[in-house]
Parts: sequence; C-alpha cells; structure tokens
Amino acid sequence: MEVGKVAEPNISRDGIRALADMAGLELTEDRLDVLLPEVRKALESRAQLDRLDLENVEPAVVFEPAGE
Amino acid sequence: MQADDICFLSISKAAKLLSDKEVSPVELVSAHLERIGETDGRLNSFITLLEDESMAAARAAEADIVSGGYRGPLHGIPIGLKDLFYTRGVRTTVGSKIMGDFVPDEDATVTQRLNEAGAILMGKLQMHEFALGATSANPHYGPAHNPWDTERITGGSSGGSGSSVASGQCMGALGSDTGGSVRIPAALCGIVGLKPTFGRVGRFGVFPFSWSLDTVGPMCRTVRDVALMLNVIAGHDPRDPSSSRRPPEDFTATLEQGIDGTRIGIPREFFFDVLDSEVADAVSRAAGVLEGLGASVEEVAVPMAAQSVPISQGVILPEGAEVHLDNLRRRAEEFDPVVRTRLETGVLSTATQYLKAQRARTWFNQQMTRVMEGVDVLLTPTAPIGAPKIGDEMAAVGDGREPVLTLLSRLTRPFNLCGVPAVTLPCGFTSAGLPIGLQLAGRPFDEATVLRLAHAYEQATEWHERRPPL
Repeated sequence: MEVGKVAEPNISRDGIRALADMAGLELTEDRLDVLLPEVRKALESRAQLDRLDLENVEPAVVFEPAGE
Repeated sequence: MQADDICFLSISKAAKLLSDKEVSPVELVSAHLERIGETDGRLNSFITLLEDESMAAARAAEADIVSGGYRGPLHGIPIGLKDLFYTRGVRTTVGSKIMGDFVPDEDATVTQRLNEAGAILMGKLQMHEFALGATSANPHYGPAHNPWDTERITGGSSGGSGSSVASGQCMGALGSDTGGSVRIPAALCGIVGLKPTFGRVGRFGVFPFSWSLDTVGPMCRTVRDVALMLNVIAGHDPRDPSSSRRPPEDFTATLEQGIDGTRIGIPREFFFDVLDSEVADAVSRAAGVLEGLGASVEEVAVPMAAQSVPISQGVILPEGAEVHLDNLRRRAEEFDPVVRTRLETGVLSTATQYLKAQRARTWFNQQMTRVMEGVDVLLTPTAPIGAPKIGDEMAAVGDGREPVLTLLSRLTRPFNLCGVPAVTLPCGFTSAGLPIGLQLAGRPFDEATVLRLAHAYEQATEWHERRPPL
C-alpha cells in the first residue's frame, strides 16, 4: 500500500563530505565523484521504501536479553 | 573404476563404497588431488590447496574405518570450504588482500562439525572479495572460471564452491548466502545448492557480510548429498546469537515420500519479468514435470517482490560497512574498487535509512507469510540468465541490458529477506551449453519439503548427470 507523496531526498558533494567526516572517512575529490551517484541511488531506494505504509511495523531487529 | 568416475560419484554412493571398504579414503582423496591438478589451472577454484593435510587426513580416516570406527556418510569424503569459514591453523583470506595472512586459531562451528563427521578438507575455495558480489572475479587471487565454459563466471560469491563441486574437484562444499551467494554459483555451475532457514546453521567463525542475512549452506551434485551435509552442519550453535534452538532432524528421511498433493505456487510477477526466454522455458517445463509427479501448480501474486532490491540494499550495505569500517578508514586502497564503493556507500547511509529498510523487511516478511499460507513451495528461476563472460559488467536479458550484480541476485534476494529455505538444482541448459537453475523456496524451517520436491524432480530428470567438458 502506498501513502502520500513525500519530498524526494537529494544530496550534494558537501553533504557526502559531511557524512564521511562524521564516519571518519577521508574522501578525495575522485572518490566523491564515484560515490555521489551511488549515494543518490541509495537515496532513491530509500524514497521507494518511504512510500510504503509501515505504520505499526517494527524493524526486523530483535534483542534477546538472556540470549534465549 | 577410473579416477574421473570416482570424482563424480555422489557422496551417498561414495559413502556406501567407503563403509563397505570397497574404496578407501586414500584412493578417494588421491583421485581428487589428481583431478584438481588436471583442472585447477583452468578453473582457479582454490585459494589454498591442502594437499599434504588432506592426504594425512585420508590416511587417518582409512585407519579409523579399517578398525571399525566408521563415523557416517561424510567420513572420508573430500570437501571444500569457501574461504570465509575459519579453519584452525589454515589461512582464511575471505577473498581479500587485507586478510591475506590471517590464520584463525580456532575452527568455525561448521568446520568443527564437518571434522567430527570425518569429512576431509581439500582446501579453501575462491570467492568474491568479502562475499560482496555475485561474480567471484577476484582481483587478488584471479577470477574463478565456470567449468562449463571457462571464459565465463562461476557466479558468486561462493564461486570456488560452485566450480570445485561441478568439476569433480570436491564432492561437496560449503558456501554462504546473504543475497544468493550459494544459489547463484550453484545454478550457474549446474549443481545443487541450499540456503537453509536463517538460524538453522550456526555461524560462529564465519566471517560476516551482513549479520541479519548471512546463512551457511551446502553445495553438492545431488539433492540427497545436500541433505547429508545439512544433517551434519545444522543444529544449535551456542556461539551464534542468531542460531535456532530447533532440534536437529534427518533431512534425508522424507526424500523418497513423493510429492503427491504438494502445492506449488508460481509467482509470475517480478520473477518472470526480466528473464532469458530459454530460462523461462526450462523453468516452466520443470513445473510441468513436478505437476506430472503429483504436485498441484497454481499462479500466486507477490506484489511486494519488487521492493526486495531496495530493502536488501538498505540492510546489507550499512551492516557490511560496519563490519569493514576500520579497514575503510585505514586501508581503503586495498579493497577491490567495486567492493570499496559499495561499502563506502553503506558507511554514508543514515541510521534511519537502515531502520526503514529493516521495517520494510518486516512488512515484506508479513506479505510473504500470507502468500505461503496457500502453498507449500514457491517455484521460480534461480538466475535470470546463464553465466555471463568474465569481466562483463552488463548482461543482455530479453530486449535490454542490466548490471550483472543486480540481475544475478534479483530472484534470490527475496528469500534471504524472509529467511526461508530455498534450493537451486539444474533444470536444463541454454543453447550455449550453460546450466539453468530451478529455485524452490519453502516455509521457515521446512527444508524437508523443499528437498523432497527437489529430489523428486532430480530423480525424474537427467540434468544432474551431465558433466562439464573439462
């Protein structure tokens, strides 16, 4: 099921540089050229998932305190 | 018996000969080492060959068997392990330069279980670097070559497992499957490969790619052999937090029970949309064979399948990136450039992106559970095309061209997301002589039904009896 339209996400070279800084990755200008289209593709994928109705759906991540 | 004939025995037939003392483990291992010597220059299945160690193990197995200590169907059987399973004292590279000198000081749980069953490790097998790809075109150790056409890829990431078993270098092998890495090379190399239910096989000592998706599975030339290997490796692993506590079962027990009344669903949507026509025809004929054996076949709708790629990418890349973050910071130049780009893309994901994908995965699983309420098994092609040429980044399919990685994993990923068991087995050949795989996916922990159907199909056809032209 799809719900209302959401804004399309986008990212600039500066945005990638900022994310890389936070992650402790040093990226050259050449690497930024390689990564920019890949990160934009990942954002398009995310946008596809944003259109799903996931109300009351929890992530498929389970923590079991006693390891049972 | 000729050495080549020995190498193409099934595990179950070899086990009978070994237990009857008609063949010795030393004969078996010698024949396989000879076969490896003849063929590996063309195939490059092995990263590390354990020639002396396998012969020593064969002599020990022979002594055990002669003295009445036969341990079971894997005792004395030559096998290989994808080079991401920890092997105590034996280099485990994970297909990488970064871990090129890594020698584990303990065995993976599956390595230990195979050792205890008496299986003989011939060596560590080729793979895509860090399991992050579907070609096994490895820049550090050279590409794995497909035994049916050595100019073509084996598929991946467990490429050496596929080529070694298909070519008679090993009787069985283990691979790991995160988005199809057991089933893709098994399909492209013309053998049987099983991705068990997530949690069915312990993963302690298996170098991770994506914690919430990684699964260990057997690859052999027959369905029965896959069941025999699964019997040994399945069961609770206290050192793997994701390991199921389900009691072990005998996966060979129901193989001969027939498939009368079994309900098969065929999801035409998505699974037959982007597909070579020869593959579509072979898979449709396979459905007809199963119907002729007593199964009922009906079309089912799987509208959520189209979301499998974004969900899978949204989970795999951040998890893989976290595994490799330290090396991405310090040794990024040592990665395969394509693998590096995928991992760095994962590093640049946000936490909300990852959790969105994990929520969508729950949704996907709920939808798939509803589909599976009406059928016992889903039947699909495994790979949409035969093996592409080594080095090709795009592959022709239908009227268009698609990136090899996304194309090869398109039909396998959905079953990783919902964690269900899925097997591939040969169901024909393209006009270029390349194997075509049939995929059967079942309900969680119902490997028995999936294997029973696969076995019934295998017994009714002869595809699994063909040998590659090496």
